[in-house]
Amino acid sequence: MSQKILFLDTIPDQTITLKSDEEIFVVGLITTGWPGIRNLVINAQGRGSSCMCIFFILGTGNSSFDAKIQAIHAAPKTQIKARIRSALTDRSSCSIEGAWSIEKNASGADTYFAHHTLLLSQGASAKTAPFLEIKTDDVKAGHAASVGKVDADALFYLLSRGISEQQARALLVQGFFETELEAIDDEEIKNKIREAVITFLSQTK
Amino acid sequence: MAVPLKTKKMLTQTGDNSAYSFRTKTKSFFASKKGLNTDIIREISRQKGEPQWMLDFRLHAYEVFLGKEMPKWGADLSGIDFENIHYYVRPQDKSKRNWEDVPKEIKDTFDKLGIPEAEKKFLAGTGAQFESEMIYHSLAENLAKQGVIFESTDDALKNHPELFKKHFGTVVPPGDNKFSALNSAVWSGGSFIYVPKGVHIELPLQAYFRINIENMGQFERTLIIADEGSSIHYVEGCTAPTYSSDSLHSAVVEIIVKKGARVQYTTIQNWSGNVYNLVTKRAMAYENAEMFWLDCNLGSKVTMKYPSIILRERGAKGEIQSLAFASKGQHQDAGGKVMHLAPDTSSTIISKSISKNGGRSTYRGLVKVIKGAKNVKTRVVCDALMLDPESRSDTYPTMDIKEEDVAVAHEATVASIGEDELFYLMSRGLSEEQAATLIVNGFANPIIRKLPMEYAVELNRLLALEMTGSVG
Repeated sequence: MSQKILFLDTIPDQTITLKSDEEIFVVGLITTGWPGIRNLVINAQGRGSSCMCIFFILGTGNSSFDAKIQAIHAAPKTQIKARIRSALTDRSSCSIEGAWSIEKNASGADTYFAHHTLLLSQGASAKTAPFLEIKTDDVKAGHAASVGKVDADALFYLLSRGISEQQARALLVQGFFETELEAIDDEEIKNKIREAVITFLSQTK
Repeated sequence: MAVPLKTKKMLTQTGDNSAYSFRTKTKSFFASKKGLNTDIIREISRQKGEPQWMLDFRLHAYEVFLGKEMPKWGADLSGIDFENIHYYVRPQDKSKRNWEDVPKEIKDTFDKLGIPEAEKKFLAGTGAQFESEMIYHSLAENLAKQGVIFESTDDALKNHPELFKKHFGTVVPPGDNKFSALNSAVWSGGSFIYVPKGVHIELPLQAYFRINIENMGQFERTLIIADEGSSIHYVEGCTAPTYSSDSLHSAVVEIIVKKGARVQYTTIQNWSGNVYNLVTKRAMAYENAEMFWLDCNLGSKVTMKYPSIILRERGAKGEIQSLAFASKGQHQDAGGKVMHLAPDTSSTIISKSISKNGGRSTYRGLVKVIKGAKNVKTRVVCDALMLDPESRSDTYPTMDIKEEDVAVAHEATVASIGEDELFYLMSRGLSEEQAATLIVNGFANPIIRKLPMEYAVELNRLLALEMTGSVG
């Protein structure tokens, strides 16, 4: 079965309600920030429904990416997963609160939230708060978050192979996003994201 | 170091002197009326014979307390009635030095806590707090000779006024939160420890806190100062009997870990199911210092406790490990906070929680890295185990990073006891209850094995007790 992808350029201020057995796949390639906080709600009301979100955030200048993503498992056997990767340069900032809740009747829920951030310049900053509320026991739940700069060991390795520092950093940032691209089938979307990363890197000194 | 032998000798001697001579049931020498006003605060201060600055400190803190709202986040605190609490209860007229002078009832409880006689002898020093006052304090002779101070906080105020005034209230100011303000206004008892430069205390110092009467508020205040290059391990245990109405335990613990020093603070708490346990614990770690909170929370009605560490100077290291067990009618809202204020600092937070019979356990944590705190490493891991569909588990971690040169990692998992695991263990001849207990123990073990051995044994026993009758 082919994936139906909803391709966005922002985190929308919106409520997505999932009916029984509905499956949606959201990919966001986000390069422009916004003032204030966006509030995205994913409400899995239908039994067996699932939602997968993958967001790529590329922050430059003074842009701010501030969002609260709420995921509600309100029926049995629902799946809501979100994977967010952000790379921030200049004075850009990213603040994501993931508020995941598994209601009492949502047994068999499968949930995951991850937010990984690469800080590429002194002025960039990140805040991440992956909240999880679980009201029943038969669930699979996990979350992960990380914030840091490009891996020093990997950088050293590439430099020792004769690759220039700028190139090495670019490769590592590309690799950081490439990991998440595996889940996407649509080649066109994949290429758009790769191009955006290259454009982003050309703006970073 | 010959600490163990000397300690043992000293305790044996005191035992010989007055063996079991004091068996009278404790009764309160003084109990303040229920409720709180400035008269009661003045009375507490007068009874303790405190200097004026402390009375002023208390009265100021009381105003701060009145001005602050109840926290709107976290656990449900609506059951607390500040007017229905005895703020100060004095069980006997002064602090005892001999363990045998201590009422039998407390010693019995100590035994019930499972701290065996032999182990008691091996502890370097012991303090016990009954109601509001520290009633027993002892310290191995040779530690005292090296300049180690281990006294009740009240005694320390009298005996070491300058050292006291210099550090008291510097890590947790009264205005920090409503309950630290309340504690600052009515504090009584707690431990005061000073470890001089370069002194290493190899055996843990221990204190034990107990609420005995109904509607009691216990507000102990602990201040630990580890001077440069010293080290200390402090262990506290807490219990209370079950009454029909609620008690409040609101402690403040301040720890100062100076350059190159190391402090481990271990808590094993098993309050009864009607105690609101709202504690502010914070440590300030200076250059290359190391702070380790080990926090085991069983019992209580509501616990809100987030041991925190401020890594203030280069190279400081912090670690927080906590274990929470929430059973029927209980909410364990625990976690940890670390502030990275300097370069080359590192921290680890490991939290494990177990929810059973409709209990609710919550991890709430914060990791903050300010701008300029370069080369910071921090890792947070929270795991939750849920034993039935009625229980609840929440995770509220926040990471606020303002510096690029950092490595911050967070992971969390939530799981229930797997049918496969149960089936396997039961096929080996264990009952379902034994199998479940074994799984819970295995889950908690990474934290438990950090405890001193006797406490680890005790905690395993408490967990087994909690698990009794939980299956089938």
